[in-house]
Amino acid sequence: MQTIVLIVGVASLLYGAVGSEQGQRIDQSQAAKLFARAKADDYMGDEYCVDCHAGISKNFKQSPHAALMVDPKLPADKRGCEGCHGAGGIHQADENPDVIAFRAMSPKESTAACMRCHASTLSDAHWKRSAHAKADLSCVSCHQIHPDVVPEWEPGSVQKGAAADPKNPVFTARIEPRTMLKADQATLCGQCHGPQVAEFRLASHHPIPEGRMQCSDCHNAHPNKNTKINRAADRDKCVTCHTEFQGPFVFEHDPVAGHTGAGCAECHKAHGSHNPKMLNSFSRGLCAQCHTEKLSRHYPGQSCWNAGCHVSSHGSNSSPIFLNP
Amino acid sequence: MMMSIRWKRRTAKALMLAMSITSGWAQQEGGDKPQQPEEPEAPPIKWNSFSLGYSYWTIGGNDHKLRQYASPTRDLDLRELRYTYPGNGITPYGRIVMKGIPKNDNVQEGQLIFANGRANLTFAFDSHEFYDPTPITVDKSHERNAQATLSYSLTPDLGVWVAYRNKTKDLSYEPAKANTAAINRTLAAGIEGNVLGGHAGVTVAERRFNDRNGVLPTTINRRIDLFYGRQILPTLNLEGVFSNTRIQQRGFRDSNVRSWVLNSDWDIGPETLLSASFRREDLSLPNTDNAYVRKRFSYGARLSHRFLNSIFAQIGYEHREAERVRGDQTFVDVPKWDIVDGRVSGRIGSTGFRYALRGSWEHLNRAALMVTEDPRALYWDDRVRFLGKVTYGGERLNAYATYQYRFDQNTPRNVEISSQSLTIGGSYSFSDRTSAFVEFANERYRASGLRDEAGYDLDWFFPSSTSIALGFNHSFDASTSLSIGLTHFVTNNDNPLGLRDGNIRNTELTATFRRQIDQNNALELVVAPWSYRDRLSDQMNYRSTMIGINWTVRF
Repeated sequence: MQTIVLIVGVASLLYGAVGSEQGQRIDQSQAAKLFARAKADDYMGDEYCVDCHAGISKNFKQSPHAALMVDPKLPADKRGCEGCHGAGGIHQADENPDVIAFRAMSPKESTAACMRCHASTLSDAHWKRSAHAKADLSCVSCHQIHPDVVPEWEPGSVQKGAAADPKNPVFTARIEPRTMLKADQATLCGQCHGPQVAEFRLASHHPIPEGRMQCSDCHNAHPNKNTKINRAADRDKCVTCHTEFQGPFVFEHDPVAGHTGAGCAECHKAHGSHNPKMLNSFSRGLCAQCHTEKLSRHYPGQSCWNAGCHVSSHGSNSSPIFLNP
Repeated sequence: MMMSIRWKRRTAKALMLAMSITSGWAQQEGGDKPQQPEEPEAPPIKWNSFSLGYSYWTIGGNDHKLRQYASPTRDLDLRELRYTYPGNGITPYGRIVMKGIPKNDNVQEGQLIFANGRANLTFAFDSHEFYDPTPITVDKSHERNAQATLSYSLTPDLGVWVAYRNKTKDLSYEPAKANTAAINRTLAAGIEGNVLGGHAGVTVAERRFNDRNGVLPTTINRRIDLFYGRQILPTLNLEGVFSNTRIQQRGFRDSNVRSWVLNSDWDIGPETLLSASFRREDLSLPNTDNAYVRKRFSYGARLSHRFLNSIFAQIGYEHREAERVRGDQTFVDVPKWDIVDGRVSGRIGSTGFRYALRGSWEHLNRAALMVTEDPRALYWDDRVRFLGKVTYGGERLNAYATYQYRFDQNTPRNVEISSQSLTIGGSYSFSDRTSAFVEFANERYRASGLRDEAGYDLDWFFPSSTSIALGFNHSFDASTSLSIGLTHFVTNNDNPLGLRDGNIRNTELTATFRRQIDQNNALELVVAPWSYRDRLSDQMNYRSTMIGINWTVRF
């Protein structure tokens, strides 16, 4: 069965690789239609946009996105204002000016407009398959291309997250997103992922409220190959920082290794927990949920690990019952 | 007058932002509407800023608990320096953000875009100090990161990148846990883009782990990922992924993990998508002497459809198998799982309400035989997850309620563990000047079925908790505002062994008063009284108050 699926898949892929023009993507998005309409003379350059949109234009220069679109070798339909919004000539000439207005379009159309350029690092298929796409989000749901709205650090801002997290003004050495987001990740992601934000308020959590981490250190909002290749993707993510637990060990602890279960998440709650060490349960209850015979008959002390016995519960190179590293 | 207009614009835009990012309604509702009329032009914003602050702390009790993850700002500190040089198309674009001074926690981040926008260099350094949360005296722990990424666009459709990261950890723990002194260095490079009529990429990475205490072996992971995907028919996309990781450990034989993945997406109709995937992974772990998995295999499919442009429905199935070498290294088991999942989400007309229902059921249909002292299966044989969510977005009110249910069952060992969590919250704008936020979250665990002959009940070790968050913002006038944030949580724990950190009551209150002196200068006063109380053990308790003043200038 595995071999058949593999052979069929590889054969189809090869067919695709050597295939004809039939394999080319047929794009019928609004953006694609508008750009298809434009003639070379319709591209008028940024200076014409500034005449009417001076404020937006000046603020846009503060955005890294502006600097990425200045290359004179770029084709006219991927350069400057017109690279995103469409040819200025059409915008000026039409009675009802045709322009790509990202926030006025449907999520699907808006994303398609961004993907005209960003398809080189994120394929349509990857995005379409993602939970964010299925929840009707688009690029501009999270990203702010024009820095013309109030940034999260602006005095007077009334963003929910900034006001509600008492740790923001106290732990000020905070890592920032570098991807033109509308707000810091904890605030932005928290607008939809409320229960996760609530977990970060508990006693034991990953240090996002303290500004040492960001959501994207673990999560990939744009799924790509890295999130699909690994069965043990969660564990791979965790050991990027917690490298001391990566193994492989001579004596593996199956739940930790993620061989047959959820890996680190078998014992830990990734966002936060009311139990120490972000554990799913308190003290020896954690081990006893699987090793039920050890609930009270074993050593009746504290936790299995901090009583000084199974100190290497993540895996050991010397002890089959994880007594030593 | 000028400042008043600017303030109103800021407030209105911030409110719009909070509402629009709540669930993307702004877009959703705007679906097929004609374009909106242009707004008046915004005056240019001054983006560069410099902020200096002084903080004074009082603390009674356990300083380690307060500094469990990072250290609060203290004494005279650089709150923030933010500078952007926008370039002019010929000179590079540059941006730098600095926070903190070397004595305190600090972060420096920067970005340089040059070569006509084709090259993008980002770099970041950060250093944080903290403590193991213990009542005994332990050394300070440090973590330092340095990373840089350079990407270059070879053509508009093809790019290369190289990244380096160095992470140093010096962690001091309460005995008997051994301290960690580790250095991780990762060097990775890749090329990705639209080639061969499809989308392809190659990534190579090397990660080195070095334990300076010499307890764990030096480990080098070398990994390569290759993928190629293309639209082989107008409605059919196919993608193949290959990955190989070679793991070298000093004093051990090399290990290897190899994966193949095939993904396909078939657009059955404009609103209907069928995705299928096949995955296989081979693991060679020659040094492992107990049970491990040497091969994994899974396949699955997911069908999704959008009804009436407002309801999204999805159903999926996945089958997993793991070829497992038993603990005695002799036999091979093949435990198998079947997983079904479903999801329905959408909006209710134009009422502003949205909902989402999501669930999954994982069933172990062939368990592994155990060669352990107790031969009963250790695997969960059923796992159920459910999430229900309702959100509302209106002009003044944004609200949400989420219910989550988790259930794990191990029938041979007669264990059932379930949890239910409820989160209700929302924000309300009383006026352009005043808004508030409130959230209540409750998480309840139940472990049933296991009570041993000594009378120990597994449920005693599954505490529950409640947390509350409140936020309040008020602008007295165009230049004076107050923000208050409060977090409070309580843990309900049987805690039969009377351990610390089990029965907690924690409150963090922070009030921030801001005064805009003029268009470019602002003063900020922060007062933060926090407390942590363990009802069984006072070793971890603390009470602290921070008073800080910040001055920010824009230029």
